[in-house]
Amino acid sequence: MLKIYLEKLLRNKLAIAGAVIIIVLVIIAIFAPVVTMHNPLEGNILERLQAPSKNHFLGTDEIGRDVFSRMIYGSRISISVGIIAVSISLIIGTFLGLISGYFGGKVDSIIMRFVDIMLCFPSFFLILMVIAFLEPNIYNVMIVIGITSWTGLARLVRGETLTIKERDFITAARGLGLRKRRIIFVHILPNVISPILVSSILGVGAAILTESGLSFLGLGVQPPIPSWGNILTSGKDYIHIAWWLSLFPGLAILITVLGWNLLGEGLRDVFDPRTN
Amino acid sequence: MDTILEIKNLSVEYQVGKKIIPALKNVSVSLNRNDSLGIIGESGSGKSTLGLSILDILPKEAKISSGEILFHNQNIFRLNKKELQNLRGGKISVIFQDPLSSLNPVIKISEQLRETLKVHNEDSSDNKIKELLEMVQLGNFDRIKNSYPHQLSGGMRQRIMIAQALASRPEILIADEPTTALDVTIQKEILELLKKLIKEFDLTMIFITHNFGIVYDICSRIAVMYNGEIVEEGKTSEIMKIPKHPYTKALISVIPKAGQKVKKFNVI
Amino acid sequence: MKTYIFRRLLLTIPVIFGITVITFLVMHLSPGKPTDVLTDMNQKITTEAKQRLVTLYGLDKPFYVQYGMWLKRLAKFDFGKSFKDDRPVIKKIAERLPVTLLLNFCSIILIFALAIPIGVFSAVKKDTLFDKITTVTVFLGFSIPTFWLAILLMILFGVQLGWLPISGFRSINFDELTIIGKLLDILRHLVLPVLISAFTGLAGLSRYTKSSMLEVLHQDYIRTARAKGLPENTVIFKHALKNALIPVVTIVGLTLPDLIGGSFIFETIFAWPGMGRLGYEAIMSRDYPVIMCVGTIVAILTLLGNLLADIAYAYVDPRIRYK
Repeated sequence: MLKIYLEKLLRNKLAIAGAVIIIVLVIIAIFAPVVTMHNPLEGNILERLQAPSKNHFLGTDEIGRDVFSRMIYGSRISISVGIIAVSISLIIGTFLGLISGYFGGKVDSIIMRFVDIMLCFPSFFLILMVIAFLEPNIYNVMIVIGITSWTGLARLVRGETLTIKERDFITAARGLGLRKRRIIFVHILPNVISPILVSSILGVGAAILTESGLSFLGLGVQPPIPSWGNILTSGKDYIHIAWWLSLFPGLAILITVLGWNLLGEGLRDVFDPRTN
Repeated sequence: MDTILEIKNLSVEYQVGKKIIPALKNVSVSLNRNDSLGIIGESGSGKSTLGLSILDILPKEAKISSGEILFHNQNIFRLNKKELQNLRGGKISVIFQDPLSSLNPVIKISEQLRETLKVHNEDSSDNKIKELLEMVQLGNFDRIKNSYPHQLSGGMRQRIMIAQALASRPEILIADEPTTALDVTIQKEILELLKKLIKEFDLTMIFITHNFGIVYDICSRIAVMYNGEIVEEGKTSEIMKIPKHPYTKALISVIPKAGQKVKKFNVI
Repeated sequence: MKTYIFRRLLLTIPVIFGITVITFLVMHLSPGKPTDVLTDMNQKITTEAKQRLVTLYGLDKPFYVQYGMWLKRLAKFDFGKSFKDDRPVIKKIAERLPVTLLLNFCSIILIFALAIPIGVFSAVKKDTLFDKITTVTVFLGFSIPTFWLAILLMILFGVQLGWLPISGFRSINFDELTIIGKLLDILRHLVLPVLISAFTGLAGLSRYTKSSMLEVLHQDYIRTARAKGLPENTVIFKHALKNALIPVVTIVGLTLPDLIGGSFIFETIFAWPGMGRLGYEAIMSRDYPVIMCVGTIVAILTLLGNLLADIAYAYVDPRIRYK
């Protein structure tokens, strides 16, 4: 079974393209100190707002900090926020989805009503509201994105659980007297892995977009810590005289998120029984 | 002998992903006026593909790799768009297996009938539609005319499909398993209706099924299909008495005959 | 269908309560009291004055009592006064709401006018060049940070080419213009925000339309339509489209709240005096009464949008409408 998936994966161009982008990104993030020449946190005010040059590949910002270095270190922020936020929503969403789907009845009603309520708040706005009442820093950003993004996954998992619950091998397991916990985690869970995987990977892209949006608005990662979003804030303020502050961070976000989306969609095609 | 339809060396294949699956292998059969040809075989034998080919309404994945189908000596595959549209529903009609999924769920029944009449330049007034419904023994026009398919019973839906197919008096009617999705009691009614209409409209029929009982009842000739090929063909009475091909023999042997004890199952 | 609508309406009641609970809880997330913002700014306020403020807002009472007070005031549409300028919150929002609605309605119209045809053609002409180009554009639409796109377009059209204005929703000399002039002026100011606001929505909806259309094109009744001899155009635009659009109709209700939720980015970037920008400024300055009000309104609008979507679906699909 796994072999078939791997074969399809290798043939799927979307997925490969996405995976390549992500791998390159991760490597850059890990080897940041090696790739950069300047300190991303400190700048020489005499060199402020310089266009891209040999010394500063992507120019400097309004405090004289090297944009290239800030961009490279910014990748660390994006990746870590993306992965951790999604991990949080993964745990919450999968757990709630599983028990909602498996136990049904009152438990299901309560959880689904809660999901309905949460879905009434447009996600970005909900995140903004919550961050407004907390201190904006990278950890709060991760947590807030995590605890507001699990609803889609919960519904998905619940749906899959409901379908699988009725299948014969689950009835057989119950007939054998296996404990509920074992049934849920050992038998049902492996079968919902594929949609969870697709949803999570697409979720990382979304989380990165959200984090950069928050940082852009000044409610996410605060300077001097570099995030692609907060570099764009300077970009907006110096829109008339420093185009490089606007172009490059956005491009980075675009390519990164594109990578995750391509991989996610590619995986979705791989797992889709209709394309077999 | 008036041959109106000739299928000559027809081969059709399906492309699924990278694989090519042959559905019809070099099939040839002809149809004379007023014939009732039964095409019988199990699932996957290619019988439906044959029926769909006649109107050139195969799904996108299907490719006609060779052969031709001649209707009054004109190759159907060479017709242009307009001629093909005239042919479909006009000179040759088809009714399908599941009338619920074969009727558009969001368009009123009367409208579905009306558009068929219109596109073949027939009178499309309310009166004509009433006539059509009465022809298939559906009386309450006022109730049906504003209904949607899901509001009617299975038998009623199949009658409507028949009415739709015969709206512009075609020469040939292809019936692709028309009774398989229906209750046993309704099956008989629909078959009787078809027999009556065949006489009334002087129809030539192709009846696609897996049920020998039906074929025996309604068809004058049979073509037996297995794995994309016609393995035996001839008059119904002759084949039933003296089946030549082993597959035909096996098919016939599984028909329960009244009073006979079932000894063992023949594996086909 | 009437029972369906009635049941649906009933279900919204607990959800509305849930909304009020959540907004209330969020308000009390921050350490310290919400009124600290008011008092900390001003050194001269004595401890007694602080205490009086706390009592005024009922912040020293137990949670459930506070929640009760909050609900009572909500019922009267009393969201308190803004911390910033002491004006009634409701009034401030009423001033800004029309601008936001204008922006978002224009976006929705654009989205639907473009996305549906694009989706339909992508499905019908699957795997052609058109389809491939639209797929790429859709991917970009999902991956691009909209605020970045806004800035880029501002630089291009506003700064470099000078064709379109980049801030505000009317020019300084607005009052001096003729009626036509005023209309054109607003239109010019609308172009960039609406285009960008619509871009992501376009991507999503065209994709959704495409997959709905593809699903429909595989159905048996499409085969029947062809077998009847109907011309291909009729098959696609009458038989297929009617079915494919049913799920799409529900999205109408769902798109408006999404847009409103995202519009504060655009209103901020393009300096439009809308509710979104008000909310953003309130967030930056911790003006809690305003934040709560905007949050509640957005949530209620979303709820209404969902309700509309469900009712539209029941109306448009005869299988549900005529049970």
